[in-house]
Amino acid sequence: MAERRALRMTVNGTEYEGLVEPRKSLADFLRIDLGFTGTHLGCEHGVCGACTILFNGAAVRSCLLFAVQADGAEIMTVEGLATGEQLHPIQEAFWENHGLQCGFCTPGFIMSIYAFLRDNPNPSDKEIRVGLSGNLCRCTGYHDIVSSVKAAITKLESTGG
Amino acid sequence: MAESTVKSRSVGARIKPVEHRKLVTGYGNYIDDIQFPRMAHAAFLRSPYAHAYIKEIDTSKAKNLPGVLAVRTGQELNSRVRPLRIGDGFPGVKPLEVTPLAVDKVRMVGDAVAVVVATDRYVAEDALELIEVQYEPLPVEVDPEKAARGEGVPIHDHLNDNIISYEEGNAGDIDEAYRKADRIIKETFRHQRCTHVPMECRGMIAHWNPGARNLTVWGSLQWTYPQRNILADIFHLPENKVRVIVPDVGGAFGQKGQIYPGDLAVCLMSIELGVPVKWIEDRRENLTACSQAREHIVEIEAAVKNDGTILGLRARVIDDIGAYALYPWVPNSWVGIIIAYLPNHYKIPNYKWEAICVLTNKPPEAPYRGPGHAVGSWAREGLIDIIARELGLDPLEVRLKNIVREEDQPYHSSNGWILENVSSLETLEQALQAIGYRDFRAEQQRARKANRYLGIGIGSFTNENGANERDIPINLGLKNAGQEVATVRMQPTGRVQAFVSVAPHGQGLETTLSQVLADELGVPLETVEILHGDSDMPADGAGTFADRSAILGGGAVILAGRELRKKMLKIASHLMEIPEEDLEIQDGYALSRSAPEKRLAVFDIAQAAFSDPGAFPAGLEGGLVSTRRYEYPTRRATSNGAHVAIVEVDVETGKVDIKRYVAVEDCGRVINPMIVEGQIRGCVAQGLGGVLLEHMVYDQSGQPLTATFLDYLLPEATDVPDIEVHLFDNPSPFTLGGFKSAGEGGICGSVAAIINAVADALAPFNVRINRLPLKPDRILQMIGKIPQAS
Repeated sequence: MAERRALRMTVNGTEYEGLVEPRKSLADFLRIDLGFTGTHLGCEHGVCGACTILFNGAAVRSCLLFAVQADGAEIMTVEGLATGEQLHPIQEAFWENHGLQCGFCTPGFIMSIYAFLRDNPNPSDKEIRVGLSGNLCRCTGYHDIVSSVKAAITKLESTGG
Repeated sequence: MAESTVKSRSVGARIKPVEHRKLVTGYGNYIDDIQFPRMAHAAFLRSPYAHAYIKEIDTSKAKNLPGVLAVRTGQELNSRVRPLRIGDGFPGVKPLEVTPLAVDKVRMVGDAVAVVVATDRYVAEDALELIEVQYEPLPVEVDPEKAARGEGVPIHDHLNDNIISYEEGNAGDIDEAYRKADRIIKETFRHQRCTHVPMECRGMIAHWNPGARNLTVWGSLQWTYPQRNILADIFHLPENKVRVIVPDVGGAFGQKGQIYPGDLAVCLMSIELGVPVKWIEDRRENLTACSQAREHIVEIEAAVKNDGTILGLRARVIDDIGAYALYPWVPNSWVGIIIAYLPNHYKIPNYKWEAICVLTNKPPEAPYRGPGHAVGSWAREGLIDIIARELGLDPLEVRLKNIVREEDQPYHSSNGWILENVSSLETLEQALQAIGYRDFRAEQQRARKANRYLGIGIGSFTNENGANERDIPINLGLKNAGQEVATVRMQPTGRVQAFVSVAPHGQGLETTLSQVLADELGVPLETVEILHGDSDMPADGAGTFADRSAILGGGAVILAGRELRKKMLKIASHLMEIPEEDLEIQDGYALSRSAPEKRLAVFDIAQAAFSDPGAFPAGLEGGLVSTRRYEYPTRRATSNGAHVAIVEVDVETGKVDIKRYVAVEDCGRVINPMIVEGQIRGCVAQGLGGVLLEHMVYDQSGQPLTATFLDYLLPEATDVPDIEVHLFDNPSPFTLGGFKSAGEGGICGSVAAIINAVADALAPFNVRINRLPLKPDRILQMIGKIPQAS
């Protein structure tokens, strides 16, 4: 077993310290060591997108990063989106538009969409589909996810997003 | 519709699902989110060979790795439990035995030969690399048609060949049909091997408590009570010493409703070590070592008249079940569904069939959303289109000639079904109108002149639901498949909890069953809560699969709710001094029908029920709780529908583009249209995946070539079109509540509609589609742009 390394990162606004093996994935560190189990693992080879988080603002797959690579980073997971009891507009939109069924892929979708709409607040229908194509969903056939994104755009516009 | 005096307030409404809030916030609780003190982690060493003898296993180095708690092989582990005997006593079936780990022989790549338990999953996987196994490779059998001829090396040593079951049957007089026919039209449809791919892989935690001597299993499962019953039986424990808990489940599609051999190994390791043992399947294991489906071959012939009348069908169906069957299913659990789906809702009185299940060195078959529906619907609807083309008729004309109409019902189909309350013609007409079928032909002609290849395809279907022991072969252990139980209790404040045995994993049943129960009780929806997923709850049924949950789970909550409502009315009558006959309960109040201003809150009824027995009518027991069981009605609720797709095929690149897609489905009385439409669209996407993208490829040595998501292609957001859904309102007269089903029809409709549309687009090239998936290279091969694959 390799020597453990000390690290420190900010997750959802709170600073955490850890002592991890260099081979431990960031997803495992967030889930097992810190208990942020909203980040899900669907393939562990970087295709399904269920483990998507924000890493210094960028949407990344936490299964493809080692925890030690996140030393000093600012991380946001799905648990960091809501403000107290108030859901984020994207979360609300998913709920109201049935943008999920089993819910396993949902946190990854929501985090991807968060970054996507921040960078492209008024996407075309085609851009939405392309923007979602890095996340896999097996339940919905994507229709209600697309509807959720459109509803989220409206909500974000009205809240100044 | 079945007798009911309740007013529909919640049922039929687009209620946003109650279960979603925790899931969108990241506070769901899936199996891998659960941690316990002293929890250990299991990992399996899996065979790299598809067929080989195990000569020797050396685990000494692995056992010495720091952090490893135990390493066990089949030799060490299997004797602790009796093997699962599969298919014993079923006519036409040769029984098999399955053990927790492979011993002596491996029969597929991915067979587990050893299990490691360690303090952490990383260490467990390190230890796997230190186990040394010597194999003696054997000839590998991957070809189901060869197996069906009785050729090849037997995969199970006690068998003479790889034919594991053989059945045949007939209805009417097929010879007479052939004599009267103008033409015999035949084709062989070969569906490729696919797999379920829930986004959450399988997983479990077993915890043997050495003090209490009981076993608790948390599992990502689509049932609760059958798992409890089977584990209790296998481990010789009383049922009350086994508890199965099912947390949130990240999809299943049929893959999480059977006993996998490795699950028993995880339980045995917890029994040995006395600590909780977690095993989480990784995606590679899920794709290569779990279960797969749909490798079905249908050789079919139709005896037809020149006007398109189908007089008879002759079919030979081969089901490649892989190297094993999975308990409590048996080898021929699914092939019969294909047999039934060939005549389906067409008036084909003469039918002769053979059903052959074969073993190959590939993972076992598990029912995948609409088992047999894909190839059954493709072969039926695809053959109809071929008949039409051969006879120079429009595919619609052949359907209209043979479809079971309202005036034919009840229709006794040659597949054994009684079709009644079926709207095949009506849904077909609605779908054709929505998509503009008749106008399309002109557009198609115009496009062809411009070298654009457009096509339209129809998938019309009826869909039987509810796999149970009356309909399909199932081993002991699932003898409760034809029923569901619900316990409904009202708390002293009037809040309602219902314990149910259906096991939702994305179907939204917490919401839909709340809607049904709120209406039945006459209380506000938000006061009702549905609880499930714990075998210690007072319910008992098979779970959620085979399109059964709305019908059976809905029926059970209606019965229990109705009984509770009667008691509430008795109490209200006593308190209000109004005869029961004049009372009803609505929106949380008991009120007098003749004088609606006289009302009493459900809160007060509940308070009375839980307090002073003197407040009660004489002889009535306190409390408000009811447990009721709903059994499958003898007459089935058959859902049906029609899907129509318009595609364009690019003959330069081979790409198929779905331009429009319409689905019309008769799902009976709809509880929540938002959820039903979501089920239909999701199901269409899974049908589309099998038609255009998904293929679990094995080479001649039984090696899986599609072991990652880069090779096994799931539909992405850019692959699935907008799907226009129409719900055809036609409640079932046979089920309580009028419910039918909505979860599997989309497979039947989409597979047939998309394939037929592609074939129609490519009609100028005179192609027949008889293999899948329709990836660009296959399309280009079919139209002769590139050479056929060898």
